[in-house]
Amino acid sequence: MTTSPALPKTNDLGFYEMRFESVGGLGANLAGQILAEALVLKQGLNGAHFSSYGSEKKGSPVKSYIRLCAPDREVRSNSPIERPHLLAIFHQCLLKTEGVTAGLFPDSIVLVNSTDPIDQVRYRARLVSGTLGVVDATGIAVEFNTRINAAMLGAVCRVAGFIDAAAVKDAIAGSFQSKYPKLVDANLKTFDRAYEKVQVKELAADARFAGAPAEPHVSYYHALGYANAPVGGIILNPGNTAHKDLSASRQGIFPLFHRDRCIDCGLCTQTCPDYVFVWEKGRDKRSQPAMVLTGPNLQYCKGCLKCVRICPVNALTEECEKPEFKYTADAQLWGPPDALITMSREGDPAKWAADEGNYWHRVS
Amino acid sequence: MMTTTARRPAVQVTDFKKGNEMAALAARQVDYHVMGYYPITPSTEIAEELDEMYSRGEHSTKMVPADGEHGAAGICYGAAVAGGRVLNATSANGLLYALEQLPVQSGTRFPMVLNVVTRSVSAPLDIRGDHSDLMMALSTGWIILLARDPQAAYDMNIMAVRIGEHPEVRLPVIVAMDGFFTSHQKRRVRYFEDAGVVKQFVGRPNTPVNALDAHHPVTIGAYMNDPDLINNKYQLKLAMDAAERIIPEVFAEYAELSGRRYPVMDCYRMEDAEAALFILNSAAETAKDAVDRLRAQGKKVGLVSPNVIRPFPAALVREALKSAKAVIIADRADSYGAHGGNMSLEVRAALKDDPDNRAYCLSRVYGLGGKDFYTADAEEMLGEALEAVNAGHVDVPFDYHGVTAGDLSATMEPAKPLTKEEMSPGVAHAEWDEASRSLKVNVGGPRQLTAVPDRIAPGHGACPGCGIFPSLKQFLAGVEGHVVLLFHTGCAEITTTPYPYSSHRVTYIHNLFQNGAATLSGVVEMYRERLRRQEIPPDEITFIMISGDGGMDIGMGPTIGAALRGHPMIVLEYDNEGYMNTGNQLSYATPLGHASSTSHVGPAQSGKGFQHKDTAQIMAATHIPYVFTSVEGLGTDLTRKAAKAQWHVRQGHFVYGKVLSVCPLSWRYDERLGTEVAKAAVDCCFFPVYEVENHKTTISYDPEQRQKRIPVTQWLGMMGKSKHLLGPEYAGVLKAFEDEVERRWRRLKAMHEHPLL
Repeated sequence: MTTSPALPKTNDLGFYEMRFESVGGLGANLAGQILAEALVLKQGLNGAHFSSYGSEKKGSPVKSYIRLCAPDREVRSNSPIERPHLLAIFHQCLLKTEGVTAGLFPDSIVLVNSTDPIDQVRYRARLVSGTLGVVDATGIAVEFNTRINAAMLGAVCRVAGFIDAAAVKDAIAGSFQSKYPKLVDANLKTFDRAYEKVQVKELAADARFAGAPAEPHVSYYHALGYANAPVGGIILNPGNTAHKDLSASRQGIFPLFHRDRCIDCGLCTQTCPDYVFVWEKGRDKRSQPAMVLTGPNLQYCKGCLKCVRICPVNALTEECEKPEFKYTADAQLWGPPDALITMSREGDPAKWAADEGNYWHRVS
Repeated sequence: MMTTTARRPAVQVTDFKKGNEMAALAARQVDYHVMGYYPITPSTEIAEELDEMYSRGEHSTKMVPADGEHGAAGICYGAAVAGGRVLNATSANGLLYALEQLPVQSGTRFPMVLNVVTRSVSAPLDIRGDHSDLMMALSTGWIILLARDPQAAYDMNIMAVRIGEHPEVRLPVIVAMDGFFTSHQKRRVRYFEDAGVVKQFVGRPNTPVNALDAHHPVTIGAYMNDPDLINNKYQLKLAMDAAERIIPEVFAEYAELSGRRYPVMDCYRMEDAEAALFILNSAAETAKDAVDRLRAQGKKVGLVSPNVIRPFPAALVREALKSAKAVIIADRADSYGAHGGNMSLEVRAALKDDPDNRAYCLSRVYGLGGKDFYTADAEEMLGEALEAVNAGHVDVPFDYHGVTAGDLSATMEPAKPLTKEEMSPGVAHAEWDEASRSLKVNVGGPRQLTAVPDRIAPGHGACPGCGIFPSLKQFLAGVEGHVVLLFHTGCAEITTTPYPYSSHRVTYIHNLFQNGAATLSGVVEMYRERLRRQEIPPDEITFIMISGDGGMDIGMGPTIGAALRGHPMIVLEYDNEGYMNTGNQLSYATPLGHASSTSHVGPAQSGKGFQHKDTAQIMAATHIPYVFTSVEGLGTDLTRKAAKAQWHVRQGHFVYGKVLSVCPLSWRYDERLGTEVAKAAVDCCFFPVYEVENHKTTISYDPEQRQKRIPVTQWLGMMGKSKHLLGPEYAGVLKAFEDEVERRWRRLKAMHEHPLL
């Protein structure tokens, strides 16, 4: 076993900690696993890896954690990493969400998947100090037809400074070898390109960024609790997922609608899993009342592109997301403040007096 | 927790693995005869790992995928009774569904090992880790060992075999690790390089009584009343007493082999502790950092954490807390109404038996539903215990730690409910035509159907390209008026109802995975009765159950029951050919030879081992008036059948429909090709589109007649899960599959031709 590298810094319990902020489908869980495994098995450190996520589905928020320490130290804690020495953000729209950059040390390293200039990323991330790395992981992944996690790994290895890139590349190759041997080469190239291309800047301390968050900002907090949540876990607010923005689930490509070519056949709407197409009552070519397609609401579109395939007249075409759009996409994957019950009626419905009628009647 | 011993341990390999992987690794090395299992998060990976290893020829454990956890437990019991080594793994509701089997196994004294990867028990449904499932098993008569980290998951699984099979014990054993916190956390671990070491440690199976010895026939499971039952149970109690003595012996023997010694009771910095925290599993390890931090501040605190809770180490509890002035007992589950979780009650009871122990006891419930437990939480708890010491009394003997009241000022505008008028734009019609003695159906085209509002709102979390949602859209567009939906557990349920969000613009119910049809029958009958009593307005409601992701495996019984009783409702199955929401495990609907996470393709196994289930024909055999199959995008076929289904329900009929539903993530094809993949499945005659209406079969779309038929291989080649079948080494499997598809198709054609079938 090689002598393990000294960790550049450790917290009071002796750990160097990394946190990856991502959405499902971008491969942050696997990236964390591969990196941690390489550091423990090939670089002789001790450590742990785990992620926080829900059921198997793309588009949900994912955090992936790595804890590292000297080989003779035990890893005991299981809890999420609150104070990362290295934070990697897999989708730049996550910068808008409160909590994503929480807990940074003054000298933490932050890596962001973005096409923006580094100073703009700093501004959006509200970084007081530390080191910032920026890499267009999505662009690189699109070029090699891989997922962005390989690119993020390359960039992480570069900015962290103490990681043996060759060991990580070995681990990447190993993880793809058995099931997807054809993907090894492209993923290693993705890794290398990101390693090479990531821009790094030491940030001069700027106290303006401390305190109030940047505009626009999404606040996520638990507004529902035992005092105000309807008992039994009942949701009284039907269809409220319509408030969610799923556009961060897209991998950089979306369907562009060309109204002038559209014949309102409705096939796109039949086939769309995300119910993005919006129709209104209008008139057809013979001025008869008919439904007319106004277009896809990209807030909900996850970019599967089935609509592009099924459209008989090429009224929907594949386009790459414009860089500005990638930031403005509102990562309200968790949704707005989540007191999502109608509060126009006071208090807890279960406590209303019996003569006020069955509460289902009142809230229906 | 672990101390090294002087003797020469066996050669071990260093690796980086999670709890589930380590349990599977131990199982592989033990080389169980049989594993009966059923997928449930977060225990699924154990079976998945073992299946993958099996496909590579790395062990010979026969993996038997059951129809549900009750069935899996039954398979395990049968295998145990037949005298070999048996393994299972489950969580939460899976454990509860199997619970009936557990006392049978301990009561008749047949050992096995069950991994419980702890998870919150429904409802509400929560897939993350707490101990509410484990605590339900306390009274089953099983030994319960705890695995607080991935290393322990391996070690405990090996020792469990020895403990359970010991001639004075002969009890089944649960090994419990925390869901996600341990099962899915990768740590540096060690395991024996040579499986022979493990096999030598566990020895040959000890089965003095078994069902396979024809020279010594036995009756297992007699009918026994009083006065014998109490004696039978006393024998079980004696076995638990013996286990209390034998477990530390096995732990000691294993320590010599592995270099890792597990005490029955782990005491951390308890020597002069005034305040102690009693807590189980992964949280205990996190809490040790808190103990260190507080000790560094001069506070005299310590931690007590058992590695075994059945038999409960009461004497060791008394010993550990002999000098403590306060103990805070934190349970990751509540026994509602008992003023404390189960562990706190047992600790209090143990201390009561020591008349000299005057320690203050505080009971806390923490971490329910996977709520993270931080070092800070442990510090707070120890702080509360110290406060009790300083104050000389306990302010709050029992409480929950970590709840939040909520922000009473927060509001949100509710969405407008859909009105009956909006949901009945008059686009879809089905009317009985006396002249032709058939239903005349008109639903217009896709453009007209856009006027029907979706009962399901956008913003749901399904994968890009999911086949379920277009299918639901096309089906529901054919149903007018008010609708109440009941979803079985599965992708559709999970992605449309992540609390506090719901995509359902109409009333929606989710109960349990197995009894959706039973539940909806109850709703339907209550609806009819309340209508009759004029308690609700006379508005028509159409009741529809949606099931998929294996729901027709576990839920087959109640669905047949509901069909036989004939309630007016629709059951719609989206056939995505596997348990997708839990990670692509095989279901009975998975076709022969297809790969899944529990039907790996490798040198020793070629994907799923048996042919796909024909639920439509099973339901047709209940002789209900309307059964149909359909698929998204076959013109408006699915919408037309929905209109017909509603017509039938209006006549008081039970309707069953099966819709092929593509799954890009698990079938492994490019998301954008969903329509092509579905079309190919139909055109190769694997998924025939037909109806059985009033007991007469009619094929809706005949690819042969339209000269669109393609070979099955063309469909198989489109998907990563099946394209291996095109290779020469799978020629046999492919032929068996092709022959079966052809046989079922030809049979269907014959039924279509025949006036009575």
